[in-house]
Amino acid sequence: MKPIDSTVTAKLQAQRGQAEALAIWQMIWAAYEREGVEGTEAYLAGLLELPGEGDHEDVEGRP
Amino acid sequence: MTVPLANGERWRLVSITVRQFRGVAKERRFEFNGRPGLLHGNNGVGKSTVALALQWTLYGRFPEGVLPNTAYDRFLSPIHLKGKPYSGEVVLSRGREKLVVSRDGPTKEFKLQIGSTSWSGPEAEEKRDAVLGLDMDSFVRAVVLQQSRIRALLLDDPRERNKALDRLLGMDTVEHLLDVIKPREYAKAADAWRAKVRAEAQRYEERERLLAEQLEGAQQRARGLKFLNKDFNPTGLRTRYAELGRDLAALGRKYGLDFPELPPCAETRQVGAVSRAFQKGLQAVRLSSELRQRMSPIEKSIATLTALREGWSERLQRRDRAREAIENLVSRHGEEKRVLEGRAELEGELGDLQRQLKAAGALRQLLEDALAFVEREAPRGCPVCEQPLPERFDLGPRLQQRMESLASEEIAKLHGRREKAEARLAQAVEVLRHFKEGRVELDECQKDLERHRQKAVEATGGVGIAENKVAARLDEALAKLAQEREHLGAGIAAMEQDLEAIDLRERALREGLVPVVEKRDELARHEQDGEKAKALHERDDGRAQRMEALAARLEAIRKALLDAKQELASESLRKAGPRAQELYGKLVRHPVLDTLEIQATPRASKVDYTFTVSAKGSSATARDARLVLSDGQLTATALALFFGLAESAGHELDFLYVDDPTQNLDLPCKEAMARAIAELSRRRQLVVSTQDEDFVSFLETAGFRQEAVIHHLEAWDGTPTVHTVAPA
Amino acid sequence: MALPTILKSEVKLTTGSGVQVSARELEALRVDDATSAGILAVLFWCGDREVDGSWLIVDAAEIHEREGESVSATRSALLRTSRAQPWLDGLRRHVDRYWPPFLDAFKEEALRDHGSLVEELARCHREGLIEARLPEHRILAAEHRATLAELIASHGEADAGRILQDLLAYLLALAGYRKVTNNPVGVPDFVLSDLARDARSGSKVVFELTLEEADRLLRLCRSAGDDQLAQAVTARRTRLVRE
Repeated sequence: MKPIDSTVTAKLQAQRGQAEALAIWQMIWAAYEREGVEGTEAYLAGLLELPGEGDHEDVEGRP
Repeated sequence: MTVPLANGERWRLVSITVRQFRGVAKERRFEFNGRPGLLHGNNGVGKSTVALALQWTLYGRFPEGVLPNTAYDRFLSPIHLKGKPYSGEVVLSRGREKLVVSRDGPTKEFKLQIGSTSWSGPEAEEKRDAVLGLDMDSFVRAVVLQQSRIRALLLDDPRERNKALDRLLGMDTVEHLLDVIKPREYAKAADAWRAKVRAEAQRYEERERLLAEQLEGAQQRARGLKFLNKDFNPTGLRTRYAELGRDLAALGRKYGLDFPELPPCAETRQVGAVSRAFQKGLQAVRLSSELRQRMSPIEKSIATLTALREGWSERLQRRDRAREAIENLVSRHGEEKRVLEGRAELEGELGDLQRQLKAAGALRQLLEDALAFVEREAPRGCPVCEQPLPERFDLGPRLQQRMESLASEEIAKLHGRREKAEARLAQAVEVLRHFKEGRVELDECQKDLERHRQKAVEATGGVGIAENKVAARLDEALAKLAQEREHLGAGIAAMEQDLEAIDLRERALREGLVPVVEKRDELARHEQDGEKAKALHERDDGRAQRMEALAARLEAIRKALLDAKQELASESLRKAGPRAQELYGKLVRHPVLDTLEIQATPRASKVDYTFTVSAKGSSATARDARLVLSDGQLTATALALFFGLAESAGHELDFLYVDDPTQNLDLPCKEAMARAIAELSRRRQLVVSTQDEDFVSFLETAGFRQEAVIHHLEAWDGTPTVHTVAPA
Repeated sequence: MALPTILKSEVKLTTGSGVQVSARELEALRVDDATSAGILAVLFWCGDREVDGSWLIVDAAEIHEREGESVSATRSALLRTSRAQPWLDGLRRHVDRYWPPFLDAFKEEALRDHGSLVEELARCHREGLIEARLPEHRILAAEHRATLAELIASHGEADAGRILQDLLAYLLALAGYRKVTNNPVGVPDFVLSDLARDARSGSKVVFELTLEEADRLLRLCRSAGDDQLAQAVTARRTRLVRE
């Protein structure tokens, strides 16, 4: 594990209630190691949910 | 053959072999054997090819920005012999261990060999990183010191300077991650989800308000039609329609009809069918009620009797006209009998006249014959009476005269009389014909009248009616029927009123209450949609919360990254500090500001680096190095930091490759740099590449050349001509 | 639905975001045995469509603080408390299901005057006519809110609160309580007791039948001569039609 990864991990572990942030960090780092910045961007983009992206469900019979 | 220096702890560079690579069209091998090395020569003789070959052979690629938009194959293949396969080999040694790294351009083959064990491909790449203890980024940062990166530390733009230091300290990864980790995007996404929910809720409420207003309007109109609040729902609709059905059935019964009650109507979509059934019931009452049933034969009878009455009058008139015609004939011509007698007389007279005419005709013929004879024979006796004729009696003219008088008078008279008789006869015949026709006509009229009278008798139910009483009887019957009709008509009018009233009620239901219930149904559907929407809103709210939570977590990650950066950078700077300070002193030799401090300072969303110089570390004298040092001094300061960091980096390579370290330095600084390098080379293997001959001289003076392998790249014709001198 | 054998209740109507319950009122809601319950029932009318017009019911045993002190509770606090009290869920479901049609059924009397409302409620309860009065059609949320708005506007908050108190008493009684003791002046606001046997026991077997199946069952019961079961099926069927 690189110093960056282990240092960030340690900092998140030291804070209370950041278990989920830590899990996300691990995914970010894994994506970065695999595919660099593009991989990380792709991973983060996958987490982002915006209205209007395939979100249309019929409520009033209208999309 | 030179003997490699023994070190035993870390890897040193033994040789770099370059084959058909960039500025080396053929093959060149640069031996170092673990010793310090110097590559010197003018620009363009291939010095940078050696550095590139070292990096490429070990790692197969270059940092971002080294070869922008350039295909490796084109760049790395020899400048003079494009298209030729290129390859490289780097040999390192650690004590008795020998590490051979080779890479082939076209086949992309990468091999690693330590002793008799070899690896290839990805396995070899992993082994290399493990054995050398650093990846490409760290290699470029801590082993190959290039002028371009030194220059970056002196840029005016603080952002660019910080980026350069980030690269130097290996913090560019952190910066890359900080660039892409953007919590604000997720906070905005959360806001967007909430805005969507709010907008939808608002649209829902607006539509609900509109529907409620429309419902209120419909209810007002319904109240105008005397409906009550309790009617304004499906139960009310059903109740009202049930009432209507019952009342219609009662109406039917009142007017002698029995039909089933209307089907139930609890929903507006049933109204059409119920309304049609209602109209059907209404029509049934209108057409088939007892009153109608009674009225129908009466009207039929009235029609019949009226037709009979009119027919009787017509026939009577016709008969009377026929009679009158006969009477007219009688008054003009007398009785028919007399006319008949007259005709008989005329016929007799005509017979006589015919005979007379015949006789006259015969006589004339006789006379004509006699005349012809006389003219022909000139007889002496009369051909007629055969008496002798007197002398010179001209019989012919006398015959002629006689014949003419017979023809012109008697026959003419006879003819005249005959014509008159014929005319009178014809007239009589005509009159008689008229009489006959008149009689026939009269007879027919009478029969017709008789038949009609019979019909009238049947129609009025009498036994027999005299002709002169038929009209009166018919009139009487008609009057009676008319009276009955009037009576029934009043009842039917009342029935029509009842039907009209109930029809109005049904129309009021359809036009007043049904729209209310329809609008209510619409509002009910809208509420159901609202319930469904609520579930979706909860989901969207969940998404908003997720995005918010993500934003918070990413914010925590950013903070941890910044803290990590500050910590790691500070750690690197702290480790490099003493050596950097020492080199700063040797290279810069500032008379006052003799202390260098480089710090990583955290800010709100970044880490700033500060180069501060001071007199003996006193904070009162501390200044930003950029403001008080010259460009040359700043370059020397940057180099001091470079070396400090490189020397303090922990990896398994015991050599540094220094490329052109004296740009921008004045002569004293170059001399100081030469001394520093010579001193450093006593602790680790340094390979220096330079085109600066002053610096080369200083290196010799500093004693570097005595221990170093010197490669003088003298000329270049696609491949450098190298003159190598190794120490004994 | 398992019901408390005795149910004491304090009823509040509020146009604010919370209620205050005095120590005296809380004291009156204390119960001695585990089968009974003292509840606080609050109806909010504060301009929030999601909240207005529905009853929030909590077991008062869990909102006592220090003895002898009154309690202030916000809506969100009451909501949290109610979610942590699943033993009253049956009662809450009953109230949520029947409150709009119940209010609609007695709307005219409620708008007219309190006295005639109470008389009519008592009479219908006594004669078992309440269910028959409930409308068969679904009451729209908009209609329900409109009725409450009219009630509060025409009587004012205080009187409307008393009217709602009596309405709630008989609404809850519909769940199975024969006796309703109202307390127009004292505390608690009302007490329900004399729980009918089938309502008391929570052990029932629940079937799901369509209307047609219910009709068939009814015919079979009648043809078999089981009038009691036929009556039970009829009553449930009527309730089902209304729903």
